[in-house]
Amino acid sequence: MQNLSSITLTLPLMGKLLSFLQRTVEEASLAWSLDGKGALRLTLGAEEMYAFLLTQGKTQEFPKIEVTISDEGAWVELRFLLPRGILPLEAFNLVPGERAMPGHAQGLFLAARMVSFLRVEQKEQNLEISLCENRSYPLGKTISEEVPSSGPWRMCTPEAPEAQQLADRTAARPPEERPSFVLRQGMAADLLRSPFWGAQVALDSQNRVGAGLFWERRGKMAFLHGPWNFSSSPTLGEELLNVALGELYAQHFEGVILLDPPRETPRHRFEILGDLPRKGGMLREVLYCSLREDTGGPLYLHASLEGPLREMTERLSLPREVRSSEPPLHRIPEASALGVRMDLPRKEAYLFCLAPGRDGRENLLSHLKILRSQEMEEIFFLLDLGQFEDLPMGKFLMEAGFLPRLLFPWAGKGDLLLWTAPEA
Amino acid sequence: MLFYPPLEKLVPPHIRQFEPYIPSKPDGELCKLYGCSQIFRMNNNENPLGPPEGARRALENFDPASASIYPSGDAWYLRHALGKHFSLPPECFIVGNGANEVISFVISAFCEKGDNIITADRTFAVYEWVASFSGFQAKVLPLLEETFDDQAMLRGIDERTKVLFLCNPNNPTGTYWNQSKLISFLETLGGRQILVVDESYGEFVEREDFPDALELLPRYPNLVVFRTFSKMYGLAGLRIGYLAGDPGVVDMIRRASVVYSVNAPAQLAAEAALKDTEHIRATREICATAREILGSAASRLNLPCSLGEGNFGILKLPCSDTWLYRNLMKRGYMIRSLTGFRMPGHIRISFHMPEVMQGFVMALEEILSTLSS
Repeated sequence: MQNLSSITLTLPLMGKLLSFLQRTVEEASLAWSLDGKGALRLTLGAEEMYAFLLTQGKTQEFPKIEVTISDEGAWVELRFLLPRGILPLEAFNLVPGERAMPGHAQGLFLAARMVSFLRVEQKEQNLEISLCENRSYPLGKTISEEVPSSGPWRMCTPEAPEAQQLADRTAARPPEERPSFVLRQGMAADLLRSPFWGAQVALDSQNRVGAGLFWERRGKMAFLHGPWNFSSSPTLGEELLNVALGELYAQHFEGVILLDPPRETPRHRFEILGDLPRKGGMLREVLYCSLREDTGGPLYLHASLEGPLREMTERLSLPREVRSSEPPLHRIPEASALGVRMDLPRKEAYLFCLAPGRDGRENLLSHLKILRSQEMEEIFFLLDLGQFEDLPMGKFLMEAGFLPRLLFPWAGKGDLLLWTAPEA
Repeated sequence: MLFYPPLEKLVPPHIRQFEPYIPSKPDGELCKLYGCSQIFRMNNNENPLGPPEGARRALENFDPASASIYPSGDAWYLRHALGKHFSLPPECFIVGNGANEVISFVISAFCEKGDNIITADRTFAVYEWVASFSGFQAKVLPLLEETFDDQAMLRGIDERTKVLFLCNPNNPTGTYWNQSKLISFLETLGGRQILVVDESYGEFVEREDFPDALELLPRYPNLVVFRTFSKMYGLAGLRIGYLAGDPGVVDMIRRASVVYSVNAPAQLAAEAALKDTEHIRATREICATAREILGSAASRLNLPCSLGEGNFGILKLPCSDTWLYRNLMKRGYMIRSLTGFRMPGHIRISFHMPEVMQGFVMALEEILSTLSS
């Protein structure tokens, strides 16, 4: 279903080219069906980001950066690919003081405030910063009747009409069993045009969707929505899940996470990863299914984390060699740098470590403050326990009041430990 | 200054999208990680009896001093021995570094940009992998009743289809095409594409209607047969397998093959192994016992079980296969979880000595009993 297009510009980082970038972003956004407001927001985001880059340290006069504007299905994305050196890691340190970069607290976050989504990623020798603006969609309809057919069922990736039908059927489910995008006419089909999204359906001979599910790629993990069974066949949801798991394996995912399992979820096919607090304080059980045989690996931990992590790995029967230590402060670099993924419609932010530093606690607290000021309700930290260099961050996270909650096996270089931020 | 290569530009997209296959760690490392004292490998369909007696002697007699000399580049003596054994000219054979290598010889020889191969979804995945990372499309068709779907394969052929792969008997389902089905398929195919019949597990099959594809070679020159010394002959550690086909077809494949890839001890051991029929009988006996132990345990534990042809069986689980894998590993039993074969919720168990099979069954029972609690 992918039919995406993009424009890539290689630009010398010069103030004079700002208006050229603005015009290109705005016209491309409109061409790819963002409405006027959306196109304006992305253009303002581009302006903030470009202006921010102009203020940062440079290794050369007018260094070249790559800017890509792309149609990603349900959103338009503006991607800045920055060779190392253009944006020093200090730009990701929000601790006030001498080290603070000029305009540091405004740059990235001002840009993020304009759009739906901000993502910062390190890619080989480059840093990639993406700003995304979602398309707007009207409310769709709901289909609540059962599919009476008993099959035979054809399991497949849905085309746009079947994707919409799946969304319409799912829209009839209670909010805790379905994602909100299914309520929007046309959004599911657009999401599936992006490589970050996928779906699987069981169709009868009349192309009625008897069962279906969506998945969202987040790194090496697939976050599953479903499986929903709309048919009178009680095992159809599980049969579809089997096909989907095989497909996800073939697409090189490590595992599957299920945050809001529908009532018909074959729970025996999943493990319980742990609990995560919902908005409002209730706990929700997080289900997990590994797609691969675990060949074992090291866990680099700050010594203070050894107890909770041993409990997690033993409960999940994960073969891990715990390598814990407590590095003396003088061996840790002075300044830390944190990356961020912000999803404004979901009011959700994920922080992660770009570089550990002695001011880790202060940097975390500064990030918390600014994220809360941007009305982020759920703030998480993802710590890669396969990354030896990040080991000191465990201590700073504890000191900043974060709580280790869930271990996602092999979701990063090693396991990813998900932390929740302290209550405001 | 460090010039790091621009990998995003240097590496083709079809390679970048691949994740490297991570094989299991050595036993010693796994024992440390899983906290067990010993690992019984029941995951790779190896022969628990080890190599035949003749092959062992050949390895013992290998003169270490001759390790400095290149092996026969085209396995000259082994090809002649194979020719004699199967009453075919030695030119019909190419020996490779395991059957995996001969798969890539065939795909390289016949496919060019835009071509495709046909295989199945729940079969040996290397046909699909080699095609995909060589930049060719692999048409992966669903099995029909756990068996290669002949009609779907024929329908799947287009003008760019060059090679069809049939794993017979199939790993992991243990199903097979009988003689008449294979012949009928070859007749319909009419020699327009290459049909590879992978008989890696052929020596385990005792059914009368199981075809010997080598015997069909004179009638069907588009037929290429794979065999291996890794399974029945217990030489998996030496990595040696071969293909057989019409001399003209094999001559083309040879152009895409790597010579000197099979080491000298492997060639000597394989040649000796061919002569040992007693080894085949003894192995089949172990498989029969193991099949009985697994079958009765499955029925006691109320687990759907498939005990087809080959030295392995399949169990359908009431839980995640990868979760069970980890828990069996803690008890020292390494099986194959089948999510990777597009069969999530199933495991494949390679047949082992009776006492190991019994131990495995006990461990399985113990783990499954924790599910209800």
